[in-house]
Amino acid sequence: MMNDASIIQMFLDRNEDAIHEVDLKYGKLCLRLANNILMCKEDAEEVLVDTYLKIWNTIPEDRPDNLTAYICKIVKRLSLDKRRYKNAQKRNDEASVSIDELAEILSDQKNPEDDLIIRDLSDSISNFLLKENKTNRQLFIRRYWYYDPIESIAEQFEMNPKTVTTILFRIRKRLKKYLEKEGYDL
Amino acid sequence: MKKDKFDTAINGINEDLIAEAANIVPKRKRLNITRYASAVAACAVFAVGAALVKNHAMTVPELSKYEEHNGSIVESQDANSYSDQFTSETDNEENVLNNVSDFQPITENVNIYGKETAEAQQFNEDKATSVDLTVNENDNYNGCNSDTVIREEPTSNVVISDTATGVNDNNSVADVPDETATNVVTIEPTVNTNDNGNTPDTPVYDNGVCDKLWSVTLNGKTYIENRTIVSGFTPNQYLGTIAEFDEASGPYDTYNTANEVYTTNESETVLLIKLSDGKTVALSLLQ
Repeated sequence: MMNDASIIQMFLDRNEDAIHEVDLKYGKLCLRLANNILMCKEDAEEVLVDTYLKIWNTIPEDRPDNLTAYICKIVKRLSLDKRRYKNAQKRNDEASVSIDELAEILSDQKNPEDDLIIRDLSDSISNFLLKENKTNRQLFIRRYWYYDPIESIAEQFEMNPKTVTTILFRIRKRLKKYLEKEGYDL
Repeated sequence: MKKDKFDTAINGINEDLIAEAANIVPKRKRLNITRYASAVAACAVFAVGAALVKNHAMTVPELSKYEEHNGSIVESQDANSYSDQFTSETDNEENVLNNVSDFQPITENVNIYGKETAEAQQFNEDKATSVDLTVNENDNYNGCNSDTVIREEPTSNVVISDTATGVNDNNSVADVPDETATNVVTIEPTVNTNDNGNTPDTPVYDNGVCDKLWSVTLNGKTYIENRTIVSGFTPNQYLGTIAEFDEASGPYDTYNTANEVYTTNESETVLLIKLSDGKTVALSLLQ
């Protein structure tokens, strides 16, 4: 399988085979992420096509340092946009459930937030995760970034689903404590 | 804080973290490399064995191509017939050996426990940064970390021969060993273990910390057993380990005796063990 640098170079060269290479390397990952958000295979496949088009149009300007994250972010954004557009999904899908789990450490207090605060918060969350061990980190991100179902995560990590739930619960508690210590008003 | 804002913040986390979690292949779909390697090894042994047997079988007729004649070894008259007879088998032998050479060593993803679990994977990573055990031989307690390293592998046993009874003893640990020396301190680090007492067990992780158990044995008698040293300890951190005991009067209470953790500098923690003859063995635990 082609390395990321070569794929990016193919995009820069406007070589259409680049899309095939991306599909080969990241197709399943993207489809899974889109499906986690949309809960609909057809919609996920549509998002996948839109993603490839988006990459084709953006990479001449963007030179992503991390192609995996770059592609996944596009998939996620397009999937969330599509879900909002459809606006028909009830809030029982994995993405909503996982967001709701995180929401338990938050109050309903509505403070004005701006992009800077959110960016700082992202950095703080990243710093927190970097202090966790790799397994915990991956569990957290698979659940709250990729919206993977608990059962799926348990299978990937060969853990009992209850164990995964417990670990995530503890990570959330630690995250809450960490963010409060950092001065965030949760 | 509204949860959608928080979710937005989650979306903006470090890209390396996103990528790190991207490529997790479901473990059950992975090839069991250990079994595969075993099967390949078995096939290779069988093939080599078959080739050797075949080779041995050829030696008898090959030797019989020669006979003694007037005190000299000469080729027998019908040697060519043997040669013809075994030409095809020689080809077969070469084929077998060629096939054997096709087997490549398996060098990746072989899990030490024969089962790839997240815990085992974590353990392998932790092991790379595990605590080194060194012995301050000829230690002048100056904090020098360059003393002889006795052990680098976390799972191997370490035997430290106290040389205090050596000839020309000047009470220095670094004396030349005397064969009659009787004081032997064995430090046996193990991996914690789950723990049913056998070694080494599958590592147990609690909040990502891999514990290691240590025992100290003098002349076959265990004085410190299954003490825990938490990996990633900070310099000068009390390790919770007894440092002094007296063989004659028996070990001091390993939990309550004054903590004889000898600190030489910020990066080194030394464990002192006093032997029955008053000599001291210093074990240095380096981060």
